Amino acid sequence: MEFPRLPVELLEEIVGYLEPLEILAARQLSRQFRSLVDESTALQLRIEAHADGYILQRSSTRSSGGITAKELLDALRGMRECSRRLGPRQILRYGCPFNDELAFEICDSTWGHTLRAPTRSFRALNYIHLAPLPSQGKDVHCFPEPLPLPRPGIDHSNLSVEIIDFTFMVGCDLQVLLESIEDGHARLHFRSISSDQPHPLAARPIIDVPDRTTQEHRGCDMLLYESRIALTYLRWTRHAGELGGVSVWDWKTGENLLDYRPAIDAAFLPHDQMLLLYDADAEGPARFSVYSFREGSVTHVLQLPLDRPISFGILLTHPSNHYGSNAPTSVNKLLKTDPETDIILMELRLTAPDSGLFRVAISIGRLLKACIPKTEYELEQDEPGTPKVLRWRHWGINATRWFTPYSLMRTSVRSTYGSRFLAFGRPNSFQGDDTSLQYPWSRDDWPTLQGGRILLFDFNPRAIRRDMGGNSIHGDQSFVYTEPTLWDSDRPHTRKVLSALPFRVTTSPKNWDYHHIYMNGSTLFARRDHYYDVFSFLPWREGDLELQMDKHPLRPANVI
Amino acid sequence: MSITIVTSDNEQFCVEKLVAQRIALIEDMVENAGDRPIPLPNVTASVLRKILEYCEHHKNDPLPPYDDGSRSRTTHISEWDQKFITVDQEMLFEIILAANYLEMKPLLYVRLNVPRVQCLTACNAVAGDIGCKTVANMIKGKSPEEIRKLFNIVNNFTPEEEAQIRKEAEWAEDR
Repeated sequence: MEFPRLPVELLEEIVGYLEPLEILAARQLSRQFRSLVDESTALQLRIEAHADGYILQRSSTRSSGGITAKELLDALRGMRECSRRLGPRQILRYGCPFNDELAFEICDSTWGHTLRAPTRSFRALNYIHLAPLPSQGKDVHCFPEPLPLPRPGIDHSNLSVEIIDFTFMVGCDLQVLLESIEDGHARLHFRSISSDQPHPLAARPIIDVPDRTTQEHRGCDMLLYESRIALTYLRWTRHAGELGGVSVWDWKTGENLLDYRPAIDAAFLPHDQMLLLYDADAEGPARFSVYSFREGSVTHVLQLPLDRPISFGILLTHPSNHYGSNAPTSVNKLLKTDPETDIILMELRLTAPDSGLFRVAISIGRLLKACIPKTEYELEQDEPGTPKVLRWRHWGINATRWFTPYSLMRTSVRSTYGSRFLAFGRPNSFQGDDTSLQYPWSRDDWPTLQGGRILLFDFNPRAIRRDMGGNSIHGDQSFVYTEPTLWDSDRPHTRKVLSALPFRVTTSPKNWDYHHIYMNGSTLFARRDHYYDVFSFLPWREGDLELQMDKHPLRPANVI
Repeated sequence: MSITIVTSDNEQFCVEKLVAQRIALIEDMVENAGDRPIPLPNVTASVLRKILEYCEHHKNDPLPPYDDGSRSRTTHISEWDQKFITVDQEMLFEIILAANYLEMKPLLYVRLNVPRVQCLTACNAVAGDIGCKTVANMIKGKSPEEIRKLFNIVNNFTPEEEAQIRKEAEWAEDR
């Protein structure tokens, strides 16, 4: 008996135990193995998920949570095709009355939202389900299957608490509600989405958060990542001219992992770490730090090539950001984004006047790699408890890409998830030349109008290399940047910066006349005046609803 | 109570029923066979001996839960199983094939989706599983050329095809 003579289903089973890279090695063995891999849906799914920057959590030869390997593979391929053309189809229009705002979060293709008057709290939450749920496990039944999309999910018109903000994670049926009591007291409630009861996995379903002003609580962001939740206070404090802060809990154990600590903004990183934008003394050149929950301290300080401290900063795109929470969860998640391909998009201003605005994309995988000691000498230099300072030239060039401040339009950079971000741009920017990355366009170049071409930036190195490898489509709208570019802001307190993180940018063929755009997984949200349009990158499925403007009118939510 | 099994090379095995029941195919055949010996025309004595050794060792194991698709993809194998599966390649593939034939595969229970079969699943599934995992572990971390050498696989690509297929895999490398 020889290995290649085993029946196909056994060979598939064996190869199915391999990592994607090893599956590709098996594909190179012989014609027999090439056909085996090419004809197996389960093996193709593993390869495609890897290429698209996802980690496939379970064996997927069989149905799991209502989505089969075949459907998931079709969805991945469809999403990739549609995002290459940037021509998603509209699936929903949602009205929003004058004077009120729509507070919303997007997670796992589910849109949770509420209407609220800008200064009041609310009691109503509505979840709409926009795409098949790859992250839903069979033991969570938030949404009945199968129904056409989009479809209503859960409608809580009378929540048990009056809240000022919320976030949620479909994969583990969790909604987090922020309740503001009085005099700056606030509490977090961890509840089940489906039942609005205390969440069964949360040891402490209610947690008191540090006292801040009510206004600060109203302006804070909640970030969910695996079993951690962070509250970041930044928006309001920035206007008040003081720094914000961050607090972190484990929502399952109820433990406080990080006491309130000054920070301009924060983002979760893999391996129990967190990026904190701010360092205690804020003197000297700009930098940020990596905090380790295991060590309970800052382990690394990474310098930026800017000669003044940061006065304002925001992390626009990261694995668990505000609009587009695609945060990994260890529960019931079939696909999660691979931190090796994820990026953080940072927007900064310095304390010096006229220093301008900086936007830099940082690869999380490369950043963390730079933090690992490479030689025994470096290892010896490590002193436990003392943060290690990494100079810019030792970590930054290959891990970042710097953008000309004004090459992207005003109020235009919008987060997505994983390795991507969205922006509004002009038709002539990022057309394969370096001008959008080095030439210091002046403020006058900014058009005053909203909207423009949508630019989709993707930093996933695998997808880029794969496309460059040969047989795939490139279109006129897509350009890949792999060469280093020299960024020069022409402002004081900055240097010329060489950066080389590869990326691809795809420009939409037509203008999008919207004020804001957001993307999460397969769904794109566009906002204009008093309505939101929702688009899907997934291919049309039998049974999906046609766009019916009047069928989804504004639901009169219980605004209190 | 015991059951008699006849292998393809005409060797007779007298097997305790508790042990034999761990094999789905035999469980099915016992009902029809009455007192007659059960023929296994696709399994040789040497392979059946190994499989029975496995069943004997695991006969008191609790039945693993019904396979819901969340079976872990880890390739970890317990110590006893590791020792059990330390055999030459020829035997390894024979065991995998026989275990598959004897319906020891978890795929089967999913296909049948019958509660009765669920009960039988368990232990037997693992015989096939540890075999496949062992082969996967042998492949892990090796270059295509090393794998070919290990399993005696003939590279039947043309040089052009080989260059093409290697190029198609380059994107995935972590660098």
